[in-house]
Amino acid sequence: MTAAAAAAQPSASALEVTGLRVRYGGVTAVRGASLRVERGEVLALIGETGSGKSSLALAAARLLPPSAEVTGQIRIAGQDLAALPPRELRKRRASLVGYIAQDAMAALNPVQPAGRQIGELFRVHRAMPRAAAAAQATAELSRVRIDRPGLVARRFPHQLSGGMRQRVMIAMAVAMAPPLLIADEPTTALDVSTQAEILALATGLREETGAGILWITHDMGVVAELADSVAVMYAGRIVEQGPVHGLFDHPCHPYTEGLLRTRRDLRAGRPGELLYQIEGSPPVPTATTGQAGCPFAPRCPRRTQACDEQEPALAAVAPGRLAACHHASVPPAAPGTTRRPSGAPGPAARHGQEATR
Amino acid sequence: MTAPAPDIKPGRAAITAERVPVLGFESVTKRYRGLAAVDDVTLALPAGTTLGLVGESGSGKTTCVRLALGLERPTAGSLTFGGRPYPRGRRGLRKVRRRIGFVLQDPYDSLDPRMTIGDIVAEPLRIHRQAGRDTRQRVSDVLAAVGLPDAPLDSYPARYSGGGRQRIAIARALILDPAVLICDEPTSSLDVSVQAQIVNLLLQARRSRDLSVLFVSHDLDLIGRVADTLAVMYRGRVVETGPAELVRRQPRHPYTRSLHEAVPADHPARRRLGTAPGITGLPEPSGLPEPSGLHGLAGPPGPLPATTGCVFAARCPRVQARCRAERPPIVQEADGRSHACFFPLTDGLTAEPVTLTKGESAS
Repeated sequence: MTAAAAAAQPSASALEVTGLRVRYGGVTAVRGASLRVERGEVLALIGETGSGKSSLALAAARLLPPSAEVTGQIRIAGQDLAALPPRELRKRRASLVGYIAQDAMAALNPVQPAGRQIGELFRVHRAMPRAAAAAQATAELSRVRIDRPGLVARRFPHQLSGGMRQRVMIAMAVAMAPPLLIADEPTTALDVSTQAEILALATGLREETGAGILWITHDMGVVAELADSVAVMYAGRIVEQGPVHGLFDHPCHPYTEGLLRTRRDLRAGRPGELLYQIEGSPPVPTATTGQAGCPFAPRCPRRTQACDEQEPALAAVAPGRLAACHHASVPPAAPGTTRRPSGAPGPAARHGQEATR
Repeated sequence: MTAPAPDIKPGRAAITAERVPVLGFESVTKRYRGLAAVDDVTLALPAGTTLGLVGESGSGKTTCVRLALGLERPTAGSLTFGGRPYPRGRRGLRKVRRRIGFVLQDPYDSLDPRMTIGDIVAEPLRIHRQAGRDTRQRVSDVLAAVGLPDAPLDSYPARYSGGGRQRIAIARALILDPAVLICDEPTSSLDVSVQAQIVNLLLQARRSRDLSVLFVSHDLDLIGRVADTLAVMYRGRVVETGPAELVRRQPRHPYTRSLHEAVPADHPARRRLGTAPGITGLPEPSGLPEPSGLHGLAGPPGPLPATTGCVFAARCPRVQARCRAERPPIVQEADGRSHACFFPLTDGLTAEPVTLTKGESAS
């Protein structure tokens, strides 16, 4: 493949994942997932422990260890990362995808000041001299709304607050202006007020950079604040997908409905009243997940015999709406209930074929 | 998935000041290297009620928990249990500890992976020399009570999911039949779909065992559901207390209100955080040195060196000269609430959103 052919296409979707499977030894963490993130769009990927959401994200950025077996297609800005030799991948990853991890303390280099770590990107990838890279690093820090970037640039990660570290990591992720950002629960460990700031920052950067964002979370509140569209994962598969307004108005899959109801009930209920609860726990992925019917069936209020016999496929339930459920509830066909950002085609239009096959 | 019927009277929230609190903090201060992690805190946990402690990291919540568990001694002030001061001696303190069960945040951390479930749950019995012939039965009973009736006593924590582990931790907390249960963020490390189960278990245990509960959380929605009374902490000080519903719906202190506004929306049509950076929510101090230069970049707002004014003054949108010069005293109101603010909010959440000053931070 020539360098020209390998170049990112400015018009292609930020991320296109088709039929992705991720296996670790005998365990399949992702069992065939397809999704697309457009430029300037935030797709929230929701899931709990063992749902495969982080495996999907790491696979998309090709950050999984070689022991993980990844099949399916991943294209970032039209570029097939699997086609790149390892050296080329290392060279180009930073300008294709920015990865924002949950634990900034672990992701940042503890023995280098924040500014050096950002500057290094410019030295390595843009061949900038040391002084210019340092100046650029400071500029990148002010871009993520750090007030005195020069001061922060000289600090080591442990000298920064959790929110500040997260900003430094975001600055590194966007430094090479990649078309795709992947954020793996970046606010989970933060206080609500700091989370609010990071969400505001992300919204601003989305508009500023025009990058597509895959935002992984388990918090429906974060989804409500940030997302244009939503994909819900359970036991290694996407079980529901759709635009955020429609999905919040009318979830099709009982798991999505349960998650939404849990949070709503928590806020609306009276003190001392028992909370609405989903029974059971998310399943631990095994070699046989999905072979004995729908993995959500043991916790599901809509469970019937069909659910125990066959795992439902992800299929179009309504325009723009996909669900993997034998008893998916169909949203009312009122136009306007499924708003989506202008210009972005609905997920069904984009994924109809892949999803149903 | 059934919604359990409401079965606890909201009238429980009424504060009965006359009753002797089962657990009390009287002007408690705890300093570490001169810095007050807990600063002149007065709290009361009336018997049979739940006191919710809200605040962000660095607010002093966990230090309060450690003080209540007798793991730390106050630098000044005193704690009481059943109306009597905490004993000074180890043996006396042990007697108090026997009456207090606790559930910590992370059941992956708090359960020893090399101990069996039976040993973990029975451990308090052994520590307090109450283990006997009936130990096995007591362990089985309490495991059944927390929803693990079939858990083999010789199994290990690794076998259990986060929710299962937290049930085991609750069983351990309940086995001595404590008077007080202290829960420090008991659900924040659990899967979302499991959190409500654990909260419901705690609500049921409280009722059936007539527990008094100190519940620590940063989740205002959650704590509003479980607590009768709320105490909001900021930088080691209690800035507002009162019946949970009042504090949630009509906060007096600007900090309480800003905590509200930082909670994400429950529907995309009501989103409020992402639109204008820094307008709502509480901007974190962006890492510049505090006036003292001591607690700058490291960590979230933590203990402050002794200051004269209000602890929230540097970030408060309603700040006046007086706030920086004097410490606001705690003002008691007729409806059982109190606040420490010279310029309290009177219109609850209905007025324009509070725009907090960015403090040292910029957009």
